[in-house]
Amino acid sequence: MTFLSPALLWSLVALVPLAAIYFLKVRPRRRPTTAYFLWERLFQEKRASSLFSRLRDAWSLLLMLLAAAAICLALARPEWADERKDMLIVIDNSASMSAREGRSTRLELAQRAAREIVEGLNGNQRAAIASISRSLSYRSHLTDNPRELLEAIDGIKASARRLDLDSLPSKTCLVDEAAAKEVAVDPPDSREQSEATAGQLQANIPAVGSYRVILVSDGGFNIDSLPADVELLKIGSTLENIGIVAADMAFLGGGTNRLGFYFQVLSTCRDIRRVDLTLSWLDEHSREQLQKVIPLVVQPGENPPETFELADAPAGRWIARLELDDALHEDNAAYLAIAKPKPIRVAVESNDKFFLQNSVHAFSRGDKLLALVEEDAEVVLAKSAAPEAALAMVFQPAAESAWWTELGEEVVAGPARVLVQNHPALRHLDPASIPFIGARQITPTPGAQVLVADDRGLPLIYKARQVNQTAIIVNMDPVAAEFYFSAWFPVLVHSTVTHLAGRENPLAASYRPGESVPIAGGRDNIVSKILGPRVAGSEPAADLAEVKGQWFGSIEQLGFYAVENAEGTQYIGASLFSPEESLVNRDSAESKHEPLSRGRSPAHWLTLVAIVVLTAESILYHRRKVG
Amino acid sequence: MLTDPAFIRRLDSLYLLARKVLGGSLQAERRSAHKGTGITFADYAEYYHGADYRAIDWRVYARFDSLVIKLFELEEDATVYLLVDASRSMESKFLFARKLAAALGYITLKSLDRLAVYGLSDTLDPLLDACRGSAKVLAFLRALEDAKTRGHDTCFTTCARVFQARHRRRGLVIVLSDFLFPDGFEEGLRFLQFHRHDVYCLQIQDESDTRCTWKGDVDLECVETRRRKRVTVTPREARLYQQAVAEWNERLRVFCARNGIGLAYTTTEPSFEKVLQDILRRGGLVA
Repeated sequence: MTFLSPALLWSLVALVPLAAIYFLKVRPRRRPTTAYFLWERLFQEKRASSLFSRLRDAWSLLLMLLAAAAICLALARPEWADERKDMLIVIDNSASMSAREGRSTRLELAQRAAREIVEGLNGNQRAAIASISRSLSYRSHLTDNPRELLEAIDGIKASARRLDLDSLPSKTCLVDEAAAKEVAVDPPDSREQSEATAGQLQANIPAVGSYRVILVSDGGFNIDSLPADVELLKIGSTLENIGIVAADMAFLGGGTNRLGFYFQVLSTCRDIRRVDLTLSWLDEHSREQLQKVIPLVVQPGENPPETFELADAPAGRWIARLELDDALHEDNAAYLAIAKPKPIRVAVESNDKFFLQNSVHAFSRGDKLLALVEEDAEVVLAKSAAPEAALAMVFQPAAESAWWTELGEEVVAGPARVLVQNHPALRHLDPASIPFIGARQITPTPGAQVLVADDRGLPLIYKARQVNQTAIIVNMDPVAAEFYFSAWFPVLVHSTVTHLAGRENPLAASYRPGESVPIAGGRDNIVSKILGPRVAGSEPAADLAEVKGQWFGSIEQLGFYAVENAEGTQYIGASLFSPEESLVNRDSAESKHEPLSRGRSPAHWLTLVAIVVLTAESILYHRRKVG
Repeated sequence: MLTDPAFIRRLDSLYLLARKVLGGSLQAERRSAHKGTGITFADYAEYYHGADYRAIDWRVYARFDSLVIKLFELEEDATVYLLVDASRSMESKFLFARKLAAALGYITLKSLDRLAVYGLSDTLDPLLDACRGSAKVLAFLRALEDAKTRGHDTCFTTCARVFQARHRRRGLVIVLSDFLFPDGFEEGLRFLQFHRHDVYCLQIQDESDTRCTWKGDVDLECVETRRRKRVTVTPREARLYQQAVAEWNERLRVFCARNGIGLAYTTTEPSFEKVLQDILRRGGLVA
């Protein structure tokens, strides 16, 4: 133990006059009594407590000296001998921190532990608060103001995201207080979605020296993944939890409404448990309609996945729920949204429609994603023509068109090279194995994106855009190249059409919080309104955001989101699905940290002792003076 | 004060009647239980050798052929002894006790009974020697007025023995005291009763005797012996003290009841006339 103000230890000298004063006893008042013999008899019976009475004056002196000494020592500001470095307190607010430990959640325990650390700062040590789940989010500046730090701690809410330790800061720099004050910190009510702000905050942090990083977590991760310079303050105990760690739902082929349900559960219980898994469908009023009860025998650890089929099952929102009360409620339900996709209407404009039409039919038996129509087509497949449709796929460019500026003679194309890797239009395709015979010298319109070209740069497949039109041009003669007989032909048509229609990313039944979700029919020029989250029985969801494009990446809570756009309403299920978070016990992760001052400072406790002692002495004094 | 005309007028309004008729040599206004030569028929008795022939009821002899004699009530004077506690514990109650004693003594003298007054403390202090007649009233009151509290203790038993040594004549012994005797009151009262005195206790206490109103560290001092003790009086101790006084008083009440001793309890709050009328009437001393 050290003293921050050792000079004030001289105040202990005050004990001497205090003791001297105390010995100047005040004579009690004389009380004449007519029944002295009765009083004598009374106090003779109380002889047992007379020892205390005799020692009472000594007790009082002792208590006064003790109180005075405690106050003097508190004035000297004693401190535990730990490393008085600035520190960053990172509170884990991932999904597993919502697990209940008695009446509190692990997050509340972590906040309590963080508060104790802040109280241990004793005003002479700076700290900053951050939370971590999928990313690190700074909650406060580096400051020695305990109020600011405590408010930041209290502002941390549980998230449904899993923990990603990669976002932990490395031990290189620390937030400079003055500079950090220039940085806008997100307000307390919107701190949950502050990745961008946190990034901005970090970007403005100058390096000023080394500091300690204290991670307050339940240790729901592999301890080896924790950076060596991050100290772990583990909270929580061993809990029993059963959770759904994977689930999916899809309509099966071969029938109209056969629905396949896949799931996997995990248990941290030490013994076998019998649990019912209920499968409910939500009607248009978000009322749960129980469809199936699946009795499960849950083994300890990770259970093998299981599948079930449901006949005559409607599309829409489904909830798979484990009917039990365990430590973590969040992983007891899987929110699954399944829709029967509207087929993309495809028309063919060509002299030889046969192969193009067959390419549309090629995969429709399985996914029913493309439908051949004569009119009102969304996408037009054309050969040797340039249709006026908004979305078009053109084979063998010919004549003049808005999709190319120059069209030359037929050339022998060199080996095809993919210029845009993993482009959705080329999904499942190996362009290098396609003989681009019949390709012509062509110059795409400005702004076109060449996806495949030969070694001389001749565009073989490119994507061009006009004002309200998009087309993918395939520079080859499919007849000469015998491409109609190639297996790649229907694949290319299918990928290109779904890409043009904005449907290249199939919707999953459920997404994890933090994942990006594709928006059906979402394009850069289409506004989609996001509503949610919405769970069974809740009020209609409020508008969450309006986004443009094909992706929505702000799923933060569990439940059902709704996306409304020109394509209609699309439901998105958000479920935890994280073995790491469901596996709420990780024995491998144990607390590892340097000596850490927690709770009130010694000066605080000394002051408290002084108050208690003075209270005791006051009681004794009261007894002496007024009984 | 006790000799004020106004006070004496107040005494005039009170009248003492002895609870029992006591033996005496002079025929006074009181009736006696002893049968003798009075004029009021009391009872018959068998004739015995030496009996007065004049008392034989010849009519009975004529009818039943047996000799019986008539007995008549004897009218004689009573002797009243007032033992007034003059110890220092009576300091606050002494005036009240003297007023009561004055009233009792006044009525005694006015009734032509014999009266003797003593002060009790560590010794028996005669305040008024035995006397009789209204002429002694003023002297009696003056003696009471001049009386002071004294002594360093209250030795009731010793005083009773000294009293008995001085007065072998039976009488009504009225003890006016708080009865807070460290050595107890039983032996003294029993001693007086043993010598065929008619004993009557008039217990006088005030709030300072029965209640403890102070708390905390105090230096207790016995008002008589001047002994001291430093104690801390908590509400519990105060309650225990009050309980002890109540038990002491109850002990006196039970003792008196078992031994046929009259007892009256009073505080200094009511007027002495009211006390005398209420308490003594209840005790059968006042007609």
